[in-house]
Amino acid sequence: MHIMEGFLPGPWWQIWFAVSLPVILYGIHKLNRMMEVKRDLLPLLAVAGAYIFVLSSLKLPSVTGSCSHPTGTGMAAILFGPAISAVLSMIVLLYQSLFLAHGGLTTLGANVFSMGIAGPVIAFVIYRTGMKAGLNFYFTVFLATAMADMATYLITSLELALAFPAQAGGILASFQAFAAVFAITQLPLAVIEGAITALIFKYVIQIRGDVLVKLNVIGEAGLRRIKEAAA
Amino acid sequence: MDNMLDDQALLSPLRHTNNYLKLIIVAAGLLGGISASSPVTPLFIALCMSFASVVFGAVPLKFYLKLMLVPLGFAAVGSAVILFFFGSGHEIAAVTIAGHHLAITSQGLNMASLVLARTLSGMCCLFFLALSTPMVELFSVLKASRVPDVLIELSMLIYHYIFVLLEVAVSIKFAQTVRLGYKDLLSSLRSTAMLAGTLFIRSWDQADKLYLAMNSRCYDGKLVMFSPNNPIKAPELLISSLFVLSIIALSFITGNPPLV
Amino acid sequence: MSILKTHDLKYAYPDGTQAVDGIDIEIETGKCIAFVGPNGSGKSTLFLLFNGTLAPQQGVVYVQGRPLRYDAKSLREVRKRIGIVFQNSSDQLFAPTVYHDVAFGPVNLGFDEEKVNNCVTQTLEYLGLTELRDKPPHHLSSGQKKKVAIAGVVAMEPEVIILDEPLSNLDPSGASEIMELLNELKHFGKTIIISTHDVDLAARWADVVYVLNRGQVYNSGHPSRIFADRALMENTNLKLPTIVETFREFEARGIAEGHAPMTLLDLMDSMESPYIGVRCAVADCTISKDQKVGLFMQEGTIVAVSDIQQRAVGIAMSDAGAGDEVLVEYVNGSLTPNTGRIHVVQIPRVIEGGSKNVDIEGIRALLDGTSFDRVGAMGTSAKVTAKKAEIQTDFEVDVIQSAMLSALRGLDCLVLASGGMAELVKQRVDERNHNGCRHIECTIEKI
Repeated sequence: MHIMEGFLPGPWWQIWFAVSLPVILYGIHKLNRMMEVKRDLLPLLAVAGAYIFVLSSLKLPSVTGSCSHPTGTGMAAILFGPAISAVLSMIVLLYQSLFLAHGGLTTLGANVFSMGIAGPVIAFVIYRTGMKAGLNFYFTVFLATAMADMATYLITSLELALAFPAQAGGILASFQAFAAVFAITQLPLAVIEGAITALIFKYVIQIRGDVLVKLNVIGEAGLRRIKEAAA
Repeated sequence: MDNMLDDQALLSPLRHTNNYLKLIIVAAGLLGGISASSPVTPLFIALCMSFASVVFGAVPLKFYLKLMLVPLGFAAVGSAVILFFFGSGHEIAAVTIAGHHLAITSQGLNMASLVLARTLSGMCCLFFLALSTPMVELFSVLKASRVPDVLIELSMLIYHYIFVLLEVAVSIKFAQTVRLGYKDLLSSLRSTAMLAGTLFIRSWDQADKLYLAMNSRCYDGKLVMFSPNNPIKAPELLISSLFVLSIIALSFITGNPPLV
Repeated sequence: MSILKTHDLKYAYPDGTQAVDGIDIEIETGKCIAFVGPNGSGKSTLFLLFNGTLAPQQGVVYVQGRPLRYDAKSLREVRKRIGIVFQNSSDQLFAPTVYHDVAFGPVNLGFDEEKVNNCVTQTLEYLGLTELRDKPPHHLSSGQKKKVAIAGVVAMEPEVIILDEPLSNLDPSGASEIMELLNELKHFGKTIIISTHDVDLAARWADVVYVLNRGQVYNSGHPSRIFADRALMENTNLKLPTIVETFREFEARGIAEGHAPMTLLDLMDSMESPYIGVRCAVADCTISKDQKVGLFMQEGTIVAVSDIQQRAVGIAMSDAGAGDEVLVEYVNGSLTPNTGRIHVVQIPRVIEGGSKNVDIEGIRALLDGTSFDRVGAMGTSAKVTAKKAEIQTDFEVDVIQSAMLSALRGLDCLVLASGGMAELVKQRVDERNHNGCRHIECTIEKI
């Protein structure tokens, strides 16, 4: 969920930039280090970033009739981990604001925090925990992605609530109100994107499962197990 | 897979105007708008920016208004929450929903209209930038601003591959549509997943080809390029200065110094 | 001197496909080489072995006599010398604008900002891409993309340029432009290697043809030797060039004789025989059947007139009115027309100032003063000059052959040629004259 340009007042828009910046810098540092070892990382990430952008510009059919767009952040986190996802998300968010008028420049900090940092971290943690616990692969992907979207939506509501606390009930009441209003679109989106992402992985495993092994998303043994389970 | 504003920007009459000038105007507009405490300044900014986009930038008015709809939708919803929950003071109106008593106070009304105005001005500034300055012009600005090289290189490559992948996505979507892939909710979901999955695999192969293409031309870790900047013309400078000064003046008049 | 050589090269892909199965080749500097073969015969793999992208499991690649080594520094050197243009331009272009993409190579070669700028500007001008300088690649047509891809490689000034299926996805005019470009590059001393399954292209363009089949070299040599061999064609699943097929039919009917021709000009030369019994002529006046008529060539057509004095003679096979076609049984005399002449005007190259340094009025005066039946333009600055002088050109592709064919039909040709190509025209005409073919007069003028 993007906060549109101009909606977030000072000092909040600056605060979220300050919060997100260290994470981004860490991501860039990690990126530089990884690229020294793996020279073909840059082309891969470039195409991945483009992929996430294009994914997020697809229109998802929604129950409520309005259309929404996937965030792509859950998938990015599972494929690349949260640090790199943060950097990619920032670039994708920038392009989304300039090319599609979704989001904004002053709100980039806040949007990066909710969509580029919080969401991917949740997705990554859930995915890794789920895989270690031996849960079904597709279920784990679904859960991780859906929870990432939920986290993004809740954090965005929090960002708005902090900037506009209610008279009666303060930040909490405001948070509840914002969350309630956006729930209509965001809850179905989380479920749908979770389902679609699981399906995407299903296709990828069928056709080019080796790609996921190369990216360290699953191990060789894991891939075999999943394929056998499906057969 | 909407109409991308960048394509418009590449054809804009404002494309070759000095980038720094445009960025200063946009920055002034964004900062002036977002720190305003009365709707007057943001509305003024919104008007000026829209005028600039539609008149100087030759953007069709209908297209421009349509662009506004989505962000205004979000702003409207957000403002509605603010309207009912924010502020104290005497009640202007009230409504009861599901047992909750929701009151509109004068403070709430002021804040809601302020937020709406600020979003309007912010979006107009963003549109002005997006419709007048293609991304390719901004890369050299980023380099000059000491943004880390790896970020700029990544951005440049991502920029190009967005269009490559979009083309693939459009043709897959069309191929699916003519075979009734989107006839109802369930098939739409399946088709979308298939599209995204195929796109992912193509992306992976594309990354391989990109690496090969870069290596065949001796890729050395350097991608960034320098490009000359365009001169600023006197009338442009005049109008821009007037604009910025007006913002500052209005901000003071309406009681809030800018850049809070 | 061989610029590229391989010895018993073998390479198999990770999935087991033996793409290259023992290939020995030797490529001479400055030649045009065509690798011909069906899909899957190993052409693309071979190219990736040439520039060190793939390392062979067996065998060696020699670049300028030295074996290719696979450390980073050596690979950089090789890729500086040997540039590859991939089949799909979308796989080759990746920068935000044309300028950035063409600059990519020079930047990587360590040039400073000014040198990069000069290099890119010159390359763009040379390829006629200056207007597209700031455009993003996704706004270009496939022909333009292909030219930009080539520009990106040319900007690195390699000695060898390899093009994998250069004409796929191009329309005929785009294809001719690219072939012209390749000929120009060859003229500047580059070694050009292409892969194609278009045998007609290989037949008329290449100096040496390698026929690949299933990862091996089936045969190699001059096109006239390769493409005249019917057995070779059958065994490798390739079809004969159309020119050769046509020639064989003519040969079977006794209309043509000699070596299998590779170009249209050669085909015409092979048909200069007096054995054709019946000709089709246009009657100049009313003619009756069995009337003896005089025949002569006018602007490439045979005309039949009633006056047989000092002309070739034939017997009309039917009645005909003026302007009608009439079949004539040829009796005796020489039907060969007076040969036209070729006059070449040398236009300075783009780097030497191009059309800006040309006296446009002078060129127009030349055209108005003397009568030329056909005008050709060869090279970028010549074409631009012709446009500026508002001269309608009749041919801009395959100019030398077209000029000679027209001259043989009795037409006078003016050829505007950029730089050294003017000499090339004269050289080719003189070669032909020297080989005993019908003499064409050729003069050069420098403007």
